[in-house]
Amino acid sequence: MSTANAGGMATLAHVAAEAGVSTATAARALGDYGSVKPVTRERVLEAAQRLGYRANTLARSMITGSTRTIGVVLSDIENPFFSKALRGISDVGHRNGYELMVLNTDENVDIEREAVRVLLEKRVDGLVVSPSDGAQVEHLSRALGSGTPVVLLDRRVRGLAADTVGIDNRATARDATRRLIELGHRRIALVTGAPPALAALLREADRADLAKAPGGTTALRAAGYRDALGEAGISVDPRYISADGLRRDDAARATARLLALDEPPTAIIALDSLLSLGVLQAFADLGTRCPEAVSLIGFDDADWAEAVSPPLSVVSQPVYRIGETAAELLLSRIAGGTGRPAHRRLSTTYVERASAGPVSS
Amino acid sequence: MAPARKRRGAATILDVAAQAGVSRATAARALSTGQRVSPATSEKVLAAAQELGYQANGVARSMITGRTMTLGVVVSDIENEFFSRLVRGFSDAVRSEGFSTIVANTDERLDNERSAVRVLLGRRVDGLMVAPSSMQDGVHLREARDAGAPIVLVDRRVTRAGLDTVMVDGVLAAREAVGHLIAAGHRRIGLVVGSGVADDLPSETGPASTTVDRFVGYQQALEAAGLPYDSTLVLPGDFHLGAARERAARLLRRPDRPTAVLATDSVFALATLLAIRDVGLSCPHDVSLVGFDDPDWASVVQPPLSVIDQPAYDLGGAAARRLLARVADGTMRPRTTLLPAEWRERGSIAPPRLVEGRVRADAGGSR
Repeated sequence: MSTANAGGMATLAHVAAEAGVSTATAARALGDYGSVKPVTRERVLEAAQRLGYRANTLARSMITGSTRTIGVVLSDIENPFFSKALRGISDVGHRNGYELMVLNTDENVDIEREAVRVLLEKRVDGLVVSPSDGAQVEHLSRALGSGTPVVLLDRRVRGLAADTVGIDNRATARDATRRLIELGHRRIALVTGAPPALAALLREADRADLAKAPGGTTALRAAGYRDALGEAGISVDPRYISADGLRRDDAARATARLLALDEPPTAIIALDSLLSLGVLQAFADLGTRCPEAVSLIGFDDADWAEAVSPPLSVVSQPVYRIGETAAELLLSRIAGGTGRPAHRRLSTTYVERASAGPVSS
Repeated sequence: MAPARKRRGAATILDVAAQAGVSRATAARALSTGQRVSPATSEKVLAAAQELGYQANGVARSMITGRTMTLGVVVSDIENEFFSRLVRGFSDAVRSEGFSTIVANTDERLDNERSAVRVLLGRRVDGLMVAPSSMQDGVHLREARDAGAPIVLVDRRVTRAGLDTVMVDGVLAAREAVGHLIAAGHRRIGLVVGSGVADDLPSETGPASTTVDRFVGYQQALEAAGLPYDSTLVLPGDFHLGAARERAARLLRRPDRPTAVLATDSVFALATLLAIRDVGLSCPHDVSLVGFDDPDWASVVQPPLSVIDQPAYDLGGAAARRLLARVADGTMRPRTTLLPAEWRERGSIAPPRLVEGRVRADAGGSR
């Protein structure tokens, strides 16, 4: 093995030495610019081949100012919503010659800040972020201020001049709640993925606070839920808004607790597909009949929604399209697009299967 | 060459130095860790950096240190729960060592995999984890290694690659899974598997090793039980849910359908479960089913699915540790690390029903 390989990848200097030319000449020969004698170019190319030299696109990025990389900051790529959105971002990025650097935050804003710092340090050309906390976004403002475009996935944040893509979270949750009310339900629970620290806020927050509310989309959906209850003259029972965490088993625990109340809910709305699985798991464990005893509507469709018992009724978001759109907006900013922030609201559809039925008398 | 695109509004180290009233060299020393600068100077510089929103240039630093502190990951389908868990396991493990992860998705295509490796090496990642899509073609991977890039293979192997590999023994896992079906009394067992095995059209690049290993394990289990191998019970094909569902439904509509099926990944398992219903049958009473991998929905569907699970998150973590070790010491001899699969029995296996009614009908009787 040559000395180049023993220490790591071959550099331009190694290739130059191997070919017996100056670094400048080697650079010209490999970069295919300037004047180089054909026989010299041949020698350099052969040397590069022998050493397994790979063009240093990173070095080139220092000159061109672009790393052709998009930074993606998500809560958790294991969550099907995020893995599907990531797929959409990746496909568009890839078609346009961009790679993705992905960091998970688990909805923790400190981890998010660090993630953004790392990505900026690596000079990504732009960021797609699903913000953990609408009230703490200075790090995103700074990124924008320093010339790095940012697109927000799934929610808007007041005061941040970033493009956003998502659905109308509040209206969608309101519609889902209305459906259940129309089926006669008055005791409707919300299984959110929020951490326990947010429980108090979700139960008490005024609508005016919501624009700056933490917890991603949860506060907006909780607001929509409260809107619908309010319209129907149903008072909000804080015990019906659960905040046990974002994993499937957290939702199962929350459901078990809800069903153990003196006045258990007759319907549940679960705010994503993993949470829906948790609710269904609890129903199975407790022998709760759905929809006969408790109805369920989930957010986000899934391939397995037909295969569960009962087949799950869902509010379906065009998740892949959300990812694609975020990447498209970002690339357009990276290309120098100016103008006011764009806010793309994609529509949802309600897929009726068999898990939401009339309240039993 | 185009001039550098200046990052609008971005403070440079010169700005920080000016604000702090020190030389550029002093500011640079103060901002990089482990450099000797007086506490007073350090404080002044850090304060200036903070005020100006200065962002260190990791790209520039990597030119000097030779390390980018990023690692590349090349997988076939980031949307598949198995891979998203694996990548999560990898990125969690490397993050604690200060590394970021760049993810490239290949859709099981070798050409995408080759170009992903090329692009990541161009970015000078400090190492690569690859889930190779072809068992037989690893030229691009060996070339990367020969060029000095640390590489670890995960989930799949490449024949005679001479590269670190972290995976589950797929032959053993499939053998165990089929063994449970045989133990329940099944004799005609179908297999839903990836393309490139059995009578499937061979592709230029061949299948992934996971496809081959699971097929071999299936055959070995049949042989060990003295059961004949029937190639008409094997359904190879691509990984999309819709296509797999149709393939499975066609198999299940046949009068001589299998009484049990091994699905070699979670997409195939869901496809088969849905297909069983599509053709008006029930699981497990008409058709038993076992899947590979334990996705979040497996314990919640009807019936709850019995699976042979691969520890995806741990595979990612183990591959990460091996890769980091190789980044630190490129002279280590490559080895293969096998993690065990875990059998989880739930509710999708039942003994085969005797289909007397059908036999009578075939013999001309009415039903």
